[in-house]
Amino acid sequence: MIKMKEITKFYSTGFVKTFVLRNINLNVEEGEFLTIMGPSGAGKSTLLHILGMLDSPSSGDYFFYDKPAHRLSERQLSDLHKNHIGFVFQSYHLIDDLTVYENLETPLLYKKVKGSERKGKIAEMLDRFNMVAKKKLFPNQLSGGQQQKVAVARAIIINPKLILADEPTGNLNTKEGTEVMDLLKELNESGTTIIQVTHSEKNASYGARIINLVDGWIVDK
Amino acid sequence: MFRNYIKIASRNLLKQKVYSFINIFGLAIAIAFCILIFLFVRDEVIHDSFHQKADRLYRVNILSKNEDGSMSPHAMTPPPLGPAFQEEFPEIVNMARFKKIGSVVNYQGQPSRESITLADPDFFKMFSFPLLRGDPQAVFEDRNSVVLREEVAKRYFGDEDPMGKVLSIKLGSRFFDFTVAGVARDIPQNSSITFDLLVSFDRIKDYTPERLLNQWTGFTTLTFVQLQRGTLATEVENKFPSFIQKHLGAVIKKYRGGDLSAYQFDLQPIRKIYLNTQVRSSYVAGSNPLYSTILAGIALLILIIAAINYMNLAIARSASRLREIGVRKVLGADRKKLMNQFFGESLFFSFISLCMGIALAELFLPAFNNFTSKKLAIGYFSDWTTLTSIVSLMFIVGLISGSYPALFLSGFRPVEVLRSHLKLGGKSKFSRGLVVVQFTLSIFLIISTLIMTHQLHYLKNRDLGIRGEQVVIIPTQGSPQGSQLVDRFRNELAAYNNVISLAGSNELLGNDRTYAESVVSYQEARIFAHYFFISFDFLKTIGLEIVEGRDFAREFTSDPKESVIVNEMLVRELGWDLAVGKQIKTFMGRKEPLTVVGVTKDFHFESLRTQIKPAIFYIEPRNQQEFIYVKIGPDDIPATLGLLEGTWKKNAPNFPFMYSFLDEEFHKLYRMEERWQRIIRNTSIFAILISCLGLFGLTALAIARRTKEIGIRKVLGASVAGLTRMVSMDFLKLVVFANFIAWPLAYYAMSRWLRGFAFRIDIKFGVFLLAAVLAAAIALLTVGLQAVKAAVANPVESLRYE
Ligand SMILES: Nc1ncnc2c1ncn2[C@@H]1O[C@H](COP(=O)(O)OP(=O)(O)O)[C@@H](O)[C@H]1O
Ligand SMILES: [Mg+2]
Repeated sequence: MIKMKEITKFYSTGFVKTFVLRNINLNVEEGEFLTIMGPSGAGKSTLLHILGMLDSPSSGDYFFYDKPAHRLSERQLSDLHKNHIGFVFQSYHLIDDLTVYENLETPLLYKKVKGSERKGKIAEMLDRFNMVAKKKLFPNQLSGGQQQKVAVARAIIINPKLILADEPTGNLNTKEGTEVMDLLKELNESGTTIIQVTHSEKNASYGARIINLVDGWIVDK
Repeated sequence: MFRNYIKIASRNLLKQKVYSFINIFGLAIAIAFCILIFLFVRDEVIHDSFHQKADRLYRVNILSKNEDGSMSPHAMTPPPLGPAFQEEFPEIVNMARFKKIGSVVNYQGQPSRESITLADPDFFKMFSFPLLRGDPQAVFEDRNSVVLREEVAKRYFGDEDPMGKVLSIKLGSRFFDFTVAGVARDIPQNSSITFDLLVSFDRIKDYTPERLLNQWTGFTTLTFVQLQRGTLATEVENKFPSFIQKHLGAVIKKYRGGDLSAYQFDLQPIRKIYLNTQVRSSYVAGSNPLYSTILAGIALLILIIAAINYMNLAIARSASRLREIGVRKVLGADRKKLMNQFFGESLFFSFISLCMGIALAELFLPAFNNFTSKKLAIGYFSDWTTLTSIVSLMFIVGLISGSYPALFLSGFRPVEVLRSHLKLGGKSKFSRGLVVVQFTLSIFLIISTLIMTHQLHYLKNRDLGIRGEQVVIIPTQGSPQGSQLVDRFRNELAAYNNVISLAGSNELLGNDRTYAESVVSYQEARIFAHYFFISFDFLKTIGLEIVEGRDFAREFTSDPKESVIVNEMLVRELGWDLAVGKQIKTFMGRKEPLTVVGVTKDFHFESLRTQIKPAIFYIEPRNQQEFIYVKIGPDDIPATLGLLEGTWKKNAPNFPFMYSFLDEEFHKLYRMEERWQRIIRNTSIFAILISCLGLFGLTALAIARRTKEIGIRKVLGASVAGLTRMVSMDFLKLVVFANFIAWPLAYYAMSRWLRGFAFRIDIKFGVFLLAAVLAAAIALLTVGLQAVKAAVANPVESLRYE
C-alpha cells in the first residue's frame, strides 16, 4: 500500500539546513497496525504528515497504491483525503463553530454523500461512540476524551483505508485513552490500515510492528 | 454544504457580536452613503431623458470666434433664427423659441412677482410636458392665452377651476389680460427646462420694437428644434455654412471683417445640456459634472474604508479561522471549496449590510433631498438600473472584503496551519497598512474641513469696506414709479428716527454677475472701471468712507452733471498722488470730461473670489434707480420693515414688496462653498466613525490575542499604565504615521481650493497639528478604554482562561 524510498525532509533556516527526516525507507502493507515511536522532536509528526500527504518530502519517492504522491494534483489529493485517509490529531482539531453532529457531517458533505445516507451514517457513529445525547453540543462543551472520540468518529465515518493518528491519547486520561485505543484495534481487525505515533509502550503494544525514529533516522532496537 | 457554511457564518456572527456589528454596521453606513450618492449622480446623468422625443430634440448653440481663434459657445440666438431654420430646413419638423422674463402678475388686485416664459406654439408638441387641462395642440391659438403649471394654478385659484380665469400680466411697462387656457402637470425634478406661466412667444412684440425682433445681431432667445425621425444632427449641421452666409453675411462683414468662420451653429442634444458647463444660459438649469465626480469619489472612499474594516477584522480573526481551514483541508476540501466558502460568507455579511444600508438610506433620504434640493427616491422596481446597481454593489463589496481570507488564507497548507501557531491578527503588515490608509483619508478630510470652515468664516467676516448690517435693499422692479420712488420714500420717511439714511442705486451690491464696466481715460492712460449710478446719500447709507475730497452733495448743483467719485484702486491704477480735481473721460454715460471730487476707501462689491477693481460713482441724472437702500436703526427692526412695506404699498401698489439685507446679499455669494464645506465635514465624520469602528475591533482582537501575555507581564510586575501604553502605542504609531502622509496631500488639495479666492487665509501649521491631535485623541479613546480594561483585569483569570 505504501512505499517510501530515501525520503528526506529538511528546513532551511537562514543558511543552515536542519534535517528532520533522513533517508527513510518504509513499506506498509494493507491491514497493518504500525506504531512510530521516538523522542520528542525526532520527526514523527513530520513523517506522519508526509504519509498523509499533508506535507511533501524534500527528496525521495513516495508511492501510495503505486501512485507517485509528488505528482498528484490538488484535486487528486483532496479526493484521496475525502475518500481514503482519516486523520486523528493529538489536539483533536474539531471545528469550534460546528456541533458534534455537524462536525461528523462535514467530511460526508465534502464526499457529496446523499442526505438520507448521511443521516444514517452519523446516527450509526453517534450510537457506536455513545454520543447520541451530545450531538447538539459544541466541542468546547465536551471533555478531552469525548472530543477525541468525535475526532476518531469523524476520521472513520468515511470508511477510510488508512487512519493516521498522531498521539491520539496524548491529552487523555488512562480510561479515555484505553477506549480510543480499543477502538483503533477494532478498526484494524476489520481491515483498516493504521499508523499511529505514540510515546507510550502500552499503546504501542496494540500494534504488530514498531519503528523507532531518532533524530530523523529509523533505528533498530 | 451550503447550509454548513451558513451555519458557520451565522454562528460566527452571533458569537462575535462586536465584530459582526462593526463589520455590518460599518458596511451598512458606507452602502447607504453609496446608494444616496448613486441616486444623486444618476439623477444628474439622466437629466432631460423623460421627453419621449428626447433623442430628436436639440438646442441651437452659436459658436463665436475669440481673438485667439478659439470658439466660445453661447446658447442665446437671434430671434429670427428659429423661423428661418424651420422654413429652410425640411428636416426640422418642429421649432420653439424660448425666453424668460421677470414680471409681475396681478390677480384680484394682489400683485406677485413671477417669471414669465415665452415659447412658440410647437413647444408642447416637442417636449413631454403633459397638460392636465387644455389642448396641447391649440393652447396658443389665441395670443391672449396663458398656460399655468399645476402648482402655480393652485396658488392662484386654490380648488377653483382655473380654466377661463383672467390674470393681468406685465409685459414691458404695461399690464395685459391673459386667459388661462391650460394647466401643465408639475415639471419633473430632472428637467432642465422649467416654466411657471407660459405665454405665446408672439407676445414678445408687446414690449420689443419690431426692428429689434428682426435683427440678427441681438442674441436674446433660446431656440429648440425637433428633427425628423432618422435624421442625423450632422446632416443639418452641414447646411449651416451657407445659411450663415445668407443670413449673417452682412453682419459678419460689418463687425467681423467678413470672416465667415467667425460664427458657427451647433445642434446640442437636449440630454447633453444639463451637464455641459461650457454653454450657459440663465434660462436653463445646469450642473457641473465635477460635483458628481467628486461625490462619487467620496462615496468610493467611504466604501473603501468600510471594506478595509471587513478585511482587517477578517485578517485578525483568521488566526482562529486558520485551524478550521486546516481541518477542512484534511477532510478533503480543495482550495476552490474554501474560496467559495469565504466568498459566500462575505457575501452573506454584505447582504445583511445591504439590507441595513437600504434601510439607512431610506431613513436619511428626506434629509439628503433637503440638502441637495432634489426629489430622489429609491426606485426598486420602477427602473432596473437602481436595483442592478445596488445588487452589484453588494457583490463588489462582498468580493472585495472577502478576498483576503478567500485568496490568501485558503492557500495555506494544512500542516503549516495545524502545527505552528501562525499569528496574523493585528500585527500583520498588510492590515497595519490598511489602518494607515483609513486614517490618512480621515485626517485628510479633517484638515480639509478645518481649512474650509476657516476660509468661510473669513469670507463672511472680512471687513468689506462698507457697513452692510441693517441696510435694507428694496428692488424697484422697473415699476413706472421707480424713478420717483427714492424721493418719495425719502420725503415720507424723513420723520422716522429708525430710518437713518436712504438712497438709490442702479446696482445690487454683493453679486458676481457682471457689473457695468467701461473704459476710463486720463490723458494717455486707459483702464477699465466698474461704474455705479447712485443718488445722493448713497455712500453714507452703505457706510463707505471718503478718504479724500468729499461726497456728492445737493448744494453743488454741478455734481449730477460734472462730478464723479472714484475708489482708491482707480487712483492707484492711474498713478495719481492727488485725485481731487483730476479730469477723466468715460465712454458710458457722458462724453464730456468729468471732475473727480472725492475718493472712497477700497470696498468689496463682488465676492472675495475676485480682486477689488477700480470703481466710479456718478449721480444718476434721471433718478432712475433700480434699488432703494435704507439704513435703519437697530431697534425694533420688524416695525421698521413694516413701515417700509406700508410706504411701498402706498407708492407702488401694483408691485409686490420685496427686500433683503445688504450683508445677507454678500453671504449668499458663498452658498456653494457652504454646501461643499458641509459635505466634506459630514464625510469626514463618517470616515472617522467607520475608521474608529475598525480600530475598535482590531484592538479588541489584539487584546484577546495578548490576554495571556498581559497576564504574565502583570504577574511579573508591570503597571496598569505601562500595560495600557504598551497596547495603545501599537495603534497610535499608525495614526501618527498616517498624519505624515495626509498632511502634504491635504496641503496640496487645500492650496488648490484656496487659489480660487483672491482673498484667502494662510494655511497655518496649527490646523495640521489640530487635526493630528483630534485623530490621535479619537483613536486613543477607541483603543485606550479597552487597553485599560485589559490591563486592570485580574491576571489569574486571564491565565486560567488560556
Ligand atoms: N516549519 C518548520 N520549520 C523549521 N523546523 C521545523 C518546522 N516544523 C518542524 N520543525 C522541526 O522539525 C523537527 C521535528 O518535528 P516533529 O516532526 O513535530 O517532531 P515530533 O513529532 O517527533 O516531536 C523539530 O525539531 C521541529 O523543530
Ligand atoms: Mg509530534
